[in-house]
Amino acid sequence: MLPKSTKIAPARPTARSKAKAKTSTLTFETPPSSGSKKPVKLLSQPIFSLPSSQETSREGSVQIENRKGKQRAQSPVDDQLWVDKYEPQTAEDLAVHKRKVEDVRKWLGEAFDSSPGSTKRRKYRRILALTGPAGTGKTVTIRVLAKEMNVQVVEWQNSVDGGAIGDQDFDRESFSSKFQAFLSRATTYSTLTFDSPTTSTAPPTPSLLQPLSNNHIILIEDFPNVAHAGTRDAFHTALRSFLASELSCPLVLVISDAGLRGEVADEAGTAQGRRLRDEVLSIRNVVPPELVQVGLVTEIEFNPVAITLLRRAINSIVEAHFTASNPHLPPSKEAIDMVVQSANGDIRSALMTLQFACIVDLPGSGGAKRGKGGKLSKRAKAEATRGILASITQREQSLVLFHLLGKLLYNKRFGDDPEEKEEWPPELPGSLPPHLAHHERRPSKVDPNALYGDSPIDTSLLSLYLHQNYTQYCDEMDECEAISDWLSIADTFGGTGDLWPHQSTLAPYAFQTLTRGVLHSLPTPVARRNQKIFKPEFFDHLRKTRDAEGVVADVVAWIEGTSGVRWGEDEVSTELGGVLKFVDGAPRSHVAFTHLPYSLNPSRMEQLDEQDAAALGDTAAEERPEGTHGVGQGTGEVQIAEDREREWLSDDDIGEF
Amino acid sequence: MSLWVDQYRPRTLDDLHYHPELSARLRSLAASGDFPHMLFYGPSGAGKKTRIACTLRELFGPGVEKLKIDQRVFMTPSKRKLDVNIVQSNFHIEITPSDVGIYDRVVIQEILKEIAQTQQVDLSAKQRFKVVIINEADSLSRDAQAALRRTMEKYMSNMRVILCANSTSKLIAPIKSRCLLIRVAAPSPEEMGVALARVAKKEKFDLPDEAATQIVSDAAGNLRKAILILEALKMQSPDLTSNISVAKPDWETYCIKVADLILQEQSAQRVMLVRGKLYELLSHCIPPTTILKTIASHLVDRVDESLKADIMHWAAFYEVRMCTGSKKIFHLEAWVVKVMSLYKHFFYGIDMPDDFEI
Repeated sequence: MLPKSTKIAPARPTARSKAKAKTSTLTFETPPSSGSKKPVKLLSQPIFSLPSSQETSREGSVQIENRKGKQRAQSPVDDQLWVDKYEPQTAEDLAVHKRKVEDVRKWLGEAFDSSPGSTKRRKYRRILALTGPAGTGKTVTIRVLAKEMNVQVVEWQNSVDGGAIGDQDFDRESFSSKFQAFLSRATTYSTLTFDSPTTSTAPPTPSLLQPLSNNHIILIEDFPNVAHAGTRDAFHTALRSFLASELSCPLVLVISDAGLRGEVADEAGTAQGRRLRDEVLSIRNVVPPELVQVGLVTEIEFNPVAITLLRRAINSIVEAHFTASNPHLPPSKEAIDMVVQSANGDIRSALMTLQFACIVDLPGSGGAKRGKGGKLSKRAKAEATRGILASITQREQSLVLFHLLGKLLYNKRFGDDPEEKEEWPPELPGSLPPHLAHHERRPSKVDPNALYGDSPIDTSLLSLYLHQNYTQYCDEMDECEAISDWLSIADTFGGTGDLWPHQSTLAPYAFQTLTRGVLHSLPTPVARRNQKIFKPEFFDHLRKTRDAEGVVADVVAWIEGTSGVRWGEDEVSTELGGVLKFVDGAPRSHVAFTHLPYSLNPSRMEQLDEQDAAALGDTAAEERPEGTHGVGQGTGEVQIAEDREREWLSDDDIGEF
Repeated sequence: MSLWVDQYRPRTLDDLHYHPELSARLRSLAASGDFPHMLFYGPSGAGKKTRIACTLRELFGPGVEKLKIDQRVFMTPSKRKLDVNIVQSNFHIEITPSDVGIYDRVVIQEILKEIAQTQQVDLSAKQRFKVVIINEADSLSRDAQAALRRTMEKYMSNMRVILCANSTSKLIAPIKSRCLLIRVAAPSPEEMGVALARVAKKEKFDLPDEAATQIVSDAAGNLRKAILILEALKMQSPDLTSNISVAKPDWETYCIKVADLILQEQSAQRVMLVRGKLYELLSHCIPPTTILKTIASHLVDRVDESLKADIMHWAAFYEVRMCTGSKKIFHLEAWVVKVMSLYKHFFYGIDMPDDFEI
């Protein structure tokens, strides 16, 4: 068994492991014991990981570093990333919601539970998928919990030796066989852990052939290219055969879903949209859908890190880093706040930003200790910090969606308040001719060009938000009419028609048309009626449409099967409704498009809250399943009213930004 | 069991009982041996596909009815594999471009080339060429249409194309000029009555005249719809004697109620309510153009004479926008709001601002 794997294994270190070795020589001030903290990253075979050798090299590097350190006096340059350096060690340190950690812990506990009677449940505790945006602590949660439970993490990495074309003696193996082999070996054998506490007390010859299912977790984070149909099938087959194999260690998939945004491709030509969807890394294509449906794969979804958790984590790291011996001054509270705000719930990004920002002292850091900082006014300091941070992180401030919608929908113009003593911008020469006089408006306080630069969402999604909310801000039908027309015009800019072949270049124009059109059409000043901003219902209905389309396709296939005649999809959805109810053998699911009861209840809307606004920065919040909120057909008015009460935020006047 | 529509579909040109001149012309074309490319167009439910099938039978004999369904794999330029179901006989092949979405050009080119490059090997075959039927030709992308026109000329010797479309307006001119255009008009009420009676006779029951009249008037020239309604009614009340009411499909009733909503009140709240209904219709796979058409025709029935032209004008206007744009709901709603605004101004006798012409 062993020699075979030697042949398969890449004989020389890959680029990745080289890089790793380099990092470890540069490591400084890391206690040698950290070797056990870091789970060993394995290439394609788990057998040959030798953490002990890493240990020695690390010790050697510490000696070297010490000598260097003396040369540089006591100004240590720490070039380890904070993200790695201050990686959470215990579950308490995790900046993840307690409940999520508990969910994962429970799952792992059940997966390792070998008591009799739990076998049945263990069958459903084989594959865990952690999904969520980047930087929400998915991987670290697994690592920390694994440590807590004293199990090892074995990780798959795609090999990076693709470039070695001339290397003839290297045995090339297809991805799928490599991955299959990895899975089967990883489930069967333990790693050669010479330094692990369990083996140190164990007899010196650990039996290699004994299944050691109870002490490790397989972690897959580095996915193969699932956008390629062939690779995806191979991957799915590997997962299925893993499930079919006898009970062994659990497999954890960490999926950072990129999410879809409200872009043209999402809702455009159905087939096109569907195909694009396949290319995004998400649980829908990483895991075979039927496995999720029958519960063989558990999904635990991580949300962006909440502001409070993020701030607490950052503060504790700042405290740990800026000890008394550190010559640098800690960043000011404002700076930390800004980092936290701009991170959009991505803790990795927040730490990176902070570390980079602290390479130079931020203005105002350390407060009065620095004479220069003390003289500046608080506001100026904040401005300066903001400027520096803005140059470091180009990520937009998280509340921008609220600002953006508020700015557009409240349509502030000069002279709204006669008391106000603000200076009007210089007037344009001349006035409008009489036949255009009804287009006369006071100068606007909103600058669409600036908004375009700052907009956290693309024009298509913005138009959906405006569309969902504009009616509340209108007084007259004429205003509604004008806005809906502008929305319609802006939409044709991004469409899939043949009229404009290069739509991407039209995006800025669509944005300008949309915003200026909306500003021009809204009343000024907008009456304050305690308006609430709602999320677009569009995606909810889009999902339902997709489901119904699937059913229509089923019916088309059914007719083709029974009579050999192929019906058009529109014919089926519009004409067949009456008959299908009575025909035996028709797919029962046809009610998805034939049954359309009429009710006067308004559809339920979900209000946009700050959490979502924050999450919208780089992932599409609207694509996350937000619980079920179908149209309130069965529910009475009272229920809906209650729901609405609960969903609304307390009075929070977004127009004031 | 299959639906009556499919079960009692006429098989030969002789079975077709309406548009006799058209049938005669098709018959002589099939006999002449100089068979052109053809484009069948006309409203849905008028019998285009039936006529095509009959013509094929006339051309090749009963052998065309031996259909087999093949699953074919096509490779797109980006190396993606497409699985397509293709219905074919020894003499013809059928394609529905909407199955393959944006890759229709690739699939059509592949199939046409393959057909064109193979000779008919069956010596007993009546014709030397094979026929390619393209259903829903009006949903072909521009690319595919452009690709089609060259192939149509090049491989004339052993291939003919029959296109089937609801209207010719979405086909490019070069295609139209290469085809013999054949318009299949909707049957008249009398002709539909005959067709219904024929189905009833084959199913061995008596169809009362009142019921037939009602079904025919409800189907509005769509024979397929008429037979479907007949089947539904027969299953609902087997005797068909008592005063039956032809139930409209749910979505149609829904559209009528939406039209009512628009006329009852014109306000921002009402816009939101109507929007919810439009979303519901869309999520039941009702094509947006059908929604627009149905609501508009119901509105027009109910408003003052002077408003009718405007309502239809704006319906047409926003339908074009809908084809260009991507979010159907925006355009549907823009039209609804426009109508509300028109109606409100009319109701209060206020002069419209002169922004009609665009």
